[in-house]
Amino acid sequence: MEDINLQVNAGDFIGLIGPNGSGKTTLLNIITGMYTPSSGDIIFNRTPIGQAEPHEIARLGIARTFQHIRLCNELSALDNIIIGYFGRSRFSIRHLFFQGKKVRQKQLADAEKAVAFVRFFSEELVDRLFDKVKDLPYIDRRRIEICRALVTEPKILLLDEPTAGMNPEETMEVIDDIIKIRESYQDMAIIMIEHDMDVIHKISNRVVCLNYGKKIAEGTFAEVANNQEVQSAYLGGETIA
Amino acid sequence: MNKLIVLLSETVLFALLILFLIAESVSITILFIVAGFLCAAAVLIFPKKAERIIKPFAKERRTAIIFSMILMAILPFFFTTQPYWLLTLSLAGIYIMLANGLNMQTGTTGLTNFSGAAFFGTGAYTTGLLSVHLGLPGWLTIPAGMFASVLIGAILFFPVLKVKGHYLALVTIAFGLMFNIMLNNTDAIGGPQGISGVKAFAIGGFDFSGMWAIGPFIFSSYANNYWLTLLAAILALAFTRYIYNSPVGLILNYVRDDEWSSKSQGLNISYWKLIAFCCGNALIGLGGALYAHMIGYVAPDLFSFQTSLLLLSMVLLGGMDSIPGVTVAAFVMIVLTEKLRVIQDYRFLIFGLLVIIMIIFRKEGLIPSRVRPYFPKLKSVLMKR
Amino acid sequence: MDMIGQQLMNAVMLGTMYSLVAIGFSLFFGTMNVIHFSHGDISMLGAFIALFFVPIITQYSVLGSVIMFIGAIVIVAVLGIFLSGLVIQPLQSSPQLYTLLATLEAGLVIREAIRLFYPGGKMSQKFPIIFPSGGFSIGGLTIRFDQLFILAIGVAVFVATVLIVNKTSLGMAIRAYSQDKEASMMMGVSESKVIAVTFALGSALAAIAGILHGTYYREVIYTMGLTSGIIGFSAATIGGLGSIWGAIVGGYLFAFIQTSVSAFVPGGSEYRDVIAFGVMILFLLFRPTGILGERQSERV
Repeated sequence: MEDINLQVNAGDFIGLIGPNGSGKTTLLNIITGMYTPSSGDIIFNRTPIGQAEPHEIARLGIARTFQHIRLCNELSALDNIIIGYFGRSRFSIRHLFFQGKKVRQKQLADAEKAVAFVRFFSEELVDRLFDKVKDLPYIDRRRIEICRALVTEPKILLLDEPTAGMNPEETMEVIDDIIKIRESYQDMAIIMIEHDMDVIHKISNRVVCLNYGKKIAEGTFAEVANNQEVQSAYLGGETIA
Repeated sequence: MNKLIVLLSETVLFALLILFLIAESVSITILFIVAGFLCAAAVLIFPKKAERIIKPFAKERRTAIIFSMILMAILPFFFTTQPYWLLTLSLAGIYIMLANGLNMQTGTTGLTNFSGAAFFGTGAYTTGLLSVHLGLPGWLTIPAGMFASVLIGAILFFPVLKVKGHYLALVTIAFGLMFNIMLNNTDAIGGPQGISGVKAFAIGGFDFSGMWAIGPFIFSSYANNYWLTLLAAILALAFTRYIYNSPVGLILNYVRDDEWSSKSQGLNISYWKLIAFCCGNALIGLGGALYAHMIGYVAPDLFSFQTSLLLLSMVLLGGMDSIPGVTVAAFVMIVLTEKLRVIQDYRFLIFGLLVIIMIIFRKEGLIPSRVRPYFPKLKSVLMKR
Repeated sequence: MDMIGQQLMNAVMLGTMYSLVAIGFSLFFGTMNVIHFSHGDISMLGAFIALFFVPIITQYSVLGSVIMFIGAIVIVAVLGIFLSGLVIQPLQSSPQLYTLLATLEAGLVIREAIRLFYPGGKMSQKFPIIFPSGGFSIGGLTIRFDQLFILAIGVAVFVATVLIVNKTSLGMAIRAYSQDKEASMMMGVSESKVIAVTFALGSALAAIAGILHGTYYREVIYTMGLTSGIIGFSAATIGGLGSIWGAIVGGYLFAFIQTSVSAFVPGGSEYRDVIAFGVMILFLLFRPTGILGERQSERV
C-alpha cells in the first residue's frame, strides 16, 4: 500500500470502499498495529502510533471487528464481551493480589454493563449470554463482536465488512444496529468497510475509495460515485449508484 | 436438605476410600475399580442425571468444601496401623499440585509445556541441595524450590513467547531431555545416583520425621507429611481456583483461543503468557520441594520425559482447563497405580491408551471445564427474566 | 587427521540416519500440516520387526537380509498408514494440541508395548550383522564395509524419495495436495490415497533408519525411538520443515554439531545432545523457517 492520506475527525462515519484486493482490510490492519507501516505514520490524538504494538493501540481507544468473526468459540458470549473491559483497563496480576475485592466488584459491574449493552441490541440474545459462542447464530456472533469492541466506548470503531456472509434480512438488522450505535455515540468516529453501495449511501457521511493499495477518491457519496477513476475501478466504468 | 445430602454422600465416599485403601485382597480392589469405572461410565452416558446428583454440591459449595477438608484432615486416624497408604495419598497430593500447575500453562493458556518433569526436578533438586549441603530449614527450602523452578523457567521465556504449537512442544521436549542429561552427568548434584539424605520438613522445633500420639493414636512421619501435603494441596488448589475464576482466568483463556483478537482487545499477550508460565512453574516447583522433603531422596530417573507425559495425561484425562477434573485424574491415577502393584509396570501403556481413546472420543476429558458462571446472582437474575 | 577422519565418518553415518527420520517429519508436515511425534518410535519399531527375520537371515544370508529389509519396511509402512488413520486423520479439524498429544501418547504406547511384550524387551537386543564385516584403510583412515553400505543405502533412498516426490504421478498428487488441498481435490487427487502414500513413504524411511541404526550399533533398545524422533524433528526444523532437501541438510548438520561437540569439547560426549538441541532452539528463535524453508508471514 502506498500514498494513503486519511483524516478522521470525531463523529465521522467513513465508508471505505474499493474492489476486492484493493487493500481495505490491510488499511485497518495497519491502523490497529497488526501490520507495521514501512513508511509514514499514523497520528492519533497527536500521538504517533505507527510503530506501536496492537494492544497499545487498542488501549488508546481504537477498536475493531474482523471480516471473519474472531471470537473465542469455547467461551460464553458474556465472557467474550467482558474481555473488552479487562484488556483495555491495563489490568495486571498486581491488581488481583492487592485489590482482590475491587477486582471482584469491577467484574460484577462489568458483567452487568455487558448485559445492558447486549440488551441494547437484542433482547433474545440476553437469554443466551451464558451459551458458548459456537452455539449462537451467525448474526448474534457478529453482534457479540461489535459489543466487545464497543464496551469501552472507543474513540474510533473500525468495522470490517460487518454484513459479510449474511442474507438480506440479517444485513438489514445489522445495519439497523449500526445506525443505533451511530445515534448513541455521536462523538465516536466509525470507519466501515462495506460492499453494498446502498448501505454506504445510507449511513456514511464521507466515502473513501481504495484501488490497488491507493486512495483514488474521497468525498461525499455522490462525489465519489461520479468519480471517473472509481467507476473504472469497478467493472470498467459501470456506474455504481 | 441439600446440606444433609452433601454431608452424607461425602461421608460415604470417604468411607469407601478408606475401605478401598485398607482392603488387602486383590479381588476386592478390582471390585472397587470396576464399580468406579461403571460409575464414571454412567456419568458419561447420562450427563443429565449426573447433573441432578451434583446439584446439591453446587448449591452447598461452601459446606461441601469445608466438610471434605475436615474429612481429609482426620483421615490419618484411620491409618495408624497402615501408615504406608498415607504416603500414597501424599504422593497423590503432590501430583495434584503438579498437574494443576501444568494445567494452568497447557490447559488454561495453551502453552504446550512438555517438560513438566524438568520443573518438578528443579524444585526437588534445589530443595534437596539446600537441605543437604547448607542445612537450611524447610520453611526456606520450599520457597527456594518454587523460586528456582520459576527461575529455570526463565530460560524458556524467549521460546514461550516466540514459538507456538508444535515448535513449542519440540523446544520443551528437548529442554526436558537436556535437563535430564544434565542431571545424569553433573557430579556435583550426584549424577545418576542423585541426592540422598534430604532432611524431613521441620518447623518450630517440631521435626516431621518424629512420632507423636494423641491417646491411643500414634502418628508417624507419614501422617505428618500427609498433613503438610494436604495443607499445601489445599492452598495450591485455592490459588488456582482464585486465578481461574478471576478475570485473569478469562484473559488466559482468551490468549489461548485467539491471539489476534486478544491483541485487538488491548491484551498484552506476552505478559499474560509469562504470568501463566511462572505461576504454573511455581506450583510444579512446590510439588517438587515437598517431594524432596517427603521421600528424602531425589534421582534423575523420576524427572524424565515419561513423567512429563504422565502429568500431561492427567491434565488431558481430567479435562483441559478443568481444575476439578485434573485433580480427580491425578488422584485416581496415582492411587490406582500404588494400589494395584500388578499394573505398576503396565501403567504407562494403560494411561497412554486411555489418553488416545479420550482424545478421539471425548476431547473435553472426564470432567469438562464449564462456562464461567460469574456470580450466581447475576446468572439467576438473567435467567428469571 | 586420523581422529578427525573417524569423527567425520561417524557424523556421516549419524547424519544419514537422522535425515531418513527427518524426511518423514517434513513430508507429513508438508502434506498434512501435522507433526507426527511417534515417528521416532515407528523407526524403532522398524528395527524390532527386522529382528523377527533373524532366522531367515541365518538361513539365507544375503537373500535373507534383503527379505528382512523389504519385510520390515512393508510392515512398518502399513502400520504407519494404520496409525495415521487412528490418531491423525480423526483429529484434523481439532486444535493441533490434540494431534500433538495423541501422537506423543501413541509413541509412548509403542515404546511400552515393545518394552513389555517383546521377549526381554527391557534390555537392549543384539542386532544381526547383515553387511560384510571388515574394511580397508586409506591414509590411516579405516573405513568399514558396513559404513559404506549404510551410506550407499542412505543416498539411494534419498535419491529414490526425491524422484518419487518429484517425478511420479503419485508424487505430483502429493505436491499438489500440499500446496492447495481443495484445488487439488477438485482436480481429481484422492485425499485418502495421498495421505496413505505419504504415511507409507515416511514410515518406510523411518524403518530403514531404524534398521541402519541397528546394523551400525549392533544393538537396539526400545528407548531409541524417543531420541531419534526428537532429533529427527529437530533436524527437519533446522533444515526447514516441509522441504525434503532441508530435512537431509538438517540431519547432517545436526550430526556434525553432535560429533564435533563430542570430539572437540573436553568431556563433551555426554553433553553433545544438550548442545545440539540448544542450537536447534536458537534456530527456531532466530530463523524459524530453517535453512531451506520459505519465509511465511502470519495472516490476520
